[in-house]
Amino acid sequence: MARIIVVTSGKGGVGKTTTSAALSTGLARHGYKTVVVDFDIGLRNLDLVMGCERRVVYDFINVINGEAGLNQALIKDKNTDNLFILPASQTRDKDALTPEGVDKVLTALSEEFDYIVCDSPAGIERGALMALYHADEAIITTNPEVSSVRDSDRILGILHSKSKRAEQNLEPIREHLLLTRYDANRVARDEMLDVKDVEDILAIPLLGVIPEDTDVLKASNQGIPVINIPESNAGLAYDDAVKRLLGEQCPMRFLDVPRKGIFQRLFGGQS
Amino acid sequence: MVTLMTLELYRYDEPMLAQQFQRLLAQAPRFFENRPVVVSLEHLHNPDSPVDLHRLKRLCADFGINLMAIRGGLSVHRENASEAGMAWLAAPPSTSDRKSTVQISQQEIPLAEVKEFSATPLHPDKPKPNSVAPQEQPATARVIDTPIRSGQQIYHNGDLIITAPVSVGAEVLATGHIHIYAPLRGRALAGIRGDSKARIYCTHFEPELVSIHGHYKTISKADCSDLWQKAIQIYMDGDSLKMTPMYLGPKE
Ligand SMILES: Nc1ncnc2c1ncn2[C@@H]1O[C@H](COP(=O)(O)OP(=O)(O)OP(=O)(O)O)[C@@H](O)[C@H]1O
Ligand SMILES: [Mg+2]
Repeated sequence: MARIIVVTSGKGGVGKTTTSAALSTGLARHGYKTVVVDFDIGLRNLDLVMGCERRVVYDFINVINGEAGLNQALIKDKNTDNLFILPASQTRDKDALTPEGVDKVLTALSEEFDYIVCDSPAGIERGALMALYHADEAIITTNPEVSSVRDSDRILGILHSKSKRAEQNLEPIREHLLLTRYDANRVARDEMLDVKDVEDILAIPLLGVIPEDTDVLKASNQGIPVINIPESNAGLAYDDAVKRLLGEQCPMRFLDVPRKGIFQRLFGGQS
Repeated sequence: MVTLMTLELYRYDEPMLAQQFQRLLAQAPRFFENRPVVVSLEHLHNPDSPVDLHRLKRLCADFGINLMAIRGGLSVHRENASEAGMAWLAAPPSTSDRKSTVQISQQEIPLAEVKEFSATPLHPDKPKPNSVAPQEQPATARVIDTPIRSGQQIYHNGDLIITAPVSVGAEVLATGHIHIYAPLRGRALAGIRGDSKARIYCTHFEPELVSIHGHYKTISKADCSDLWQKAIQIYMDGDSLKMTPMYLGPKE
């Protein structure tokens, strides 16, 4: 039986797909057989970030409609063992994502995989509801700004009322706060909320803080999950988040403004 | 379960109603947001006065108020309602509710008053008056230990005790007192079925709106800077809503 993890946010563009790619790669690198499923029907982003867009033949909707078998649609990742991608369809509309269809596919995946990571679309409509319905755990992807925090709060309410675990009165979904695009400089200037503010409002455990990092865009342009870019700050922070997800303790990094290097201290300084 | 709002109609006067809605929405723009509203004709000053429910529905719609049913009224009103695509609900049996309403109407004779009650889901095409009448079970306290999130609404017949945050955009309603041992950032409405003695207690005061017995106040940090984030209780003192710091033991 797989553990189903939804990466969700309410608000768009906060880093769900980046996170789904990184976490699934991280889990696979730890030896867990992992599949990452793109629920963003009509947009199809995940396969780009994972660098497999040219290898997409069949997709999630084809499998739901019985036009292809699961094993025909699953794409094996080229760089990471144990990792598979189930891409979304670019051509269909999201109504093709039926509750029965999603249930059927996730049940089948559950038998083969240790982890199923669901990359949710933005919003609180059908696609997002489908992505979170079966979840055992939820990664609440949040940027340190008021509107994103508000939307995350709303999604948490939906997890509590519209998920399978809520409907069937099972043990509640395990919720994790993942702060992404955290810019310590802007936090220090009060242009963004700090970690404490967000934790205080959302009142769920913090899984990690991913710093704002230009490597993220570079990586996604090359079709490499950022966790695979050596020495990138965002990648290291995702590494830590995966460890915490697996129960390891490790201190938070990248929360403070980086100290100035020796040259900046000697020649730059604040004048 | 859904929470219905009742619009208690005392007189049918369209321009005046429009004015009253305008005032209400200026103070609390999201008061009716996503909320099914029932118009009650039980307390019409002139019970057989004609009420054009088609027009009333349209008037309400202009203010974003979603009228879905009438309560009470005469058979003409009922027919008129079904033509206007609204359900009909039986008047609730409670008299306590009635008494308090009359008192208020004697004091200020408002045109209409907003009240709230809770009901099981309602189907406009298949009105089930019995299932919709507010439950009159003996009130007991309900304890909630999980956060109330934006978009969520909790209604309880009795006292409500909450030990987790109530978010911005969330709403808690109780017929009795409301205790919140955590930040209150959303809306809290106590004594919603006629108990003016109900109070709200919270340990961290940052609400959007508080209300006792239908007397509500929208809150902003600027207006309440001395109370902000403090432990506060809210209660009715005569006709006015009072908000005072709670005594938490001798100062250190
Ligand atoms: N830590 C980061 N540092 C810098 N840029 C980032 C970071 N995380 C994400 N981004 C950038 O933000 C943009 C949106 O990211 P992403 O596509 O992962 O968000 P999303 O939540 O999946 O969006 P959507 O709601 O549209 O699905 C991308 O351009 C991505 O490169
Ligand atoms: Mg995305």
